[in-house]
Amino acid sequence: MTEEFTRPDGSTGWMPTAPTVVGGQPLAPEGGIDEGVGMDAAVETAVESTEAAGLDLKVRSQWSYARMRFFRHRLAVAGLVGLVIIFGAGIFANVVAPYSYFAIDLQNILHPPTTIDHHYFGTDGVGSDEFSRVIFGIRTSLEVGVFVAVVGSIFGLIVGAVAGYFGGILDNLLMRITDLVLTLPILAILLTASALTHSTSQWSISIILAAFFWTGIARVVRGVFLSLREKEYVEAAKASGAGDARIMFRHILPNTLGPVIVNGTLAVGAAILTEAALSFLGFGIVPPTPSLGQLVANGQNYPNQWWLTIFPGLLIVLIVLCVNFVGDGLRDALDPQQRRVRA
Amino acid sequence: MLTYIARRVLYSIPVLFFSTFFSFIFVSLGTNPLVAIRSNPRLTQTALNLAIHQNHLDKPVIVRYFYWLEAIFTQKLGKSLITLKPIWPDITRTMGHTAQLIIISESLAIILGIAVGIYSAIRQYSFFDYSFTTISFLGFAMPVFWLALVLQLLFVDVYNKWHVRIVYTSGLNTIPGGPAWSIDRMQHLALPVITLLVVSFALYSRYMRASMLDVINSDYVRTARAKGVAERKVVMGHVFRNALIPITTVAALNVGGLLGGAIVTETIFTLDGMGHYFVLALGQGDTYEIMAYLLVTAVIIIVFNLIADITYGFLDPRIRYD
Repeated sequence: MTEEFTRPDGSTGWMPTAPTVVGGQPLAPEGGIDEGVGMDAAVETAVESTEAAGLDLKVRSQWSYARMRFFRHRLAVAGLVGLVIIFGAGIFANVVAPYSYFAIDLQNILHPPTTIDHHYFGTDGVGSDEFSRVIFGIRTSLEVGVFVAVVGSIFGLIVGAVAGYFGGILDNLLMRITDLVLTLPILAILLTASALTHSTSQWSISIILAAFFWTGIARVVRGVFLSLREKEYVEAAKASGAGDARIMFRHILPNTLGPVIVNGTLAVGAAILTEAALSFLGFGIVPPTPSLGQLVANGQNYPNQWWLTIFPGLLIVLIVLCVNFVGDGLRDALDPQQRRVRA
Repeated sequence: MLTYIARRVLYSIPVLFFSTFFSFIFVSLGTNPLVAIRSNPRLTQTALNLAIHQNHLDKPVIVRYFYWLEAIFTQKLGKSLITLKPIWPDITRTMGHTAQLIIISESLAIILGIAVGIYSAIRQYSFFDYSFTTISFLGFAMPVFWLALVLQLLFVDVYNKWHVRIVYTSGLNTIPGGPAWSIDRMQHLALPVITLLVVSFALYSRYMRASMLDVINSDYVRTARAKGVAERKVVMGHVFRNALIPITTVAALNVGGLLGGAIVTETIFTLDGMGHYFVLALGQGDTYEIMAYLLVTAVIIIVFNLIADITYGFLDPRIRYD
């Protein structure tokens, strides 16, 4: 299974030594059901050459199945489009926002939403354009969410892999730590951590969030490692002289990528929500760095100016909604058991 | 079963010990309990030294942890060094208010969630199902604080426009005692309850729907139908009862999230609950009040985790404890 794979046209695919990316290995290497399983994205060029040779053999990798399933999931695609638009606006905030984040215009304070002068979301108590502030806030939320999800996932992956593969005392210790983190009242702990370390910058808040966002992924990864380390193909790899690191990262890790990607995606939304709550309560990102939660907190001071509360919050809802749709779509798409293409 | 419970209770002692130990060290290093004492302009050096000595602040943090541990049992959590008030009465009072909030909103959320979950599962892919799927997705994506603020904005607006007092938008009570008090309390609790309700409802209705669908497609339900059991009996007797099992676990494990939601909700509606107490303590950097909150919530969460495990065993006879 892990050895060289020769296609009918003579091209060799998928060898253990092939310089593939991390995601290069199949999701379900033990289930060689048909030609589809056992191929990977990195040999798609070979797939194309098969088609070019005029053979009516259609070879699909696990990843192309996943892609197909994902794009048939209408809500997921809608979520993806929404995210591209919202995050695109955030990334190119300098271009998209009509005003700067700080611009003060004391002649136009608390102006309701209007298209005149591009004050689409109105202006706040010092005349800053709320639309521009929200756009810059999206950028911060995006950066925090992605950072927390990536760092948390990598950390959770390592902890879960080590705990699941080596087992024993190490597993016990790591899982007790995970239990400990899971029993803590999480929002209270995050608030405490951020208040007592006087974290006010975007990056220190991100690091604090990441320090608590790895437990879920660690558990999932540990579960997969526990069940796969006893499999025959791992034994075969061991017999042919593969070291622990190689077995862990080349042979078992790719099988955890599905759940890790899904969990990581959903973590982006959760991190954005948590950051917003921290900033809202005043223990998160402080001005001048823009943040959506902070904008809502500012809106709280103006009970008669609804636009200052509604718009930033609405953007949080939209972002998290889209992230959750994409996460759901990925969950359905990356489930290797699910061969059926969703209608 | 009893040995299992005993083991779980014993096991939670080291968990509590370590979590409070690390939190205490962290909180102690991050706060300065002497801020209030030092702010007194007529403070003499001897008085300061005495205060430091009496409160064991001249000892290392690790030693102070054990003094704190002692104070939990002998002096009911001790007193705050910032406000100089004993902590226990504050904690019990605020905990009562938080309990009212959480119990009311949870009961409503569970009842509504189960009802909607059942109907969504029976009429899968119907208009009803799709509408509530949308609502629960919105519930998952909605920040609690934003929902609370929107409700507040709405009812402040209603009051300003028509001068009708439907519900209060902040505080806890204005009328003391009597039956009028209960109505008054309900008016104050209404918005916080709705806020917490929406988030939990989304969770419970989704779980209930999923677990109903799981059971509906199982073999013994097909058998029941094949035997000619009436549809109503199939749904209520065979499906519903078994689909309830996961919900109990989800509800018990949701307590941590609820306490977090209560922090935000109580802060916005200035409700005199534990979460509000905690945020105030955090703002002042009050070491012992922060620790009291963290300890109490940790105990609550551990107790509910235990309840989740035990009820699961009672409800699902396939689970064996050894």
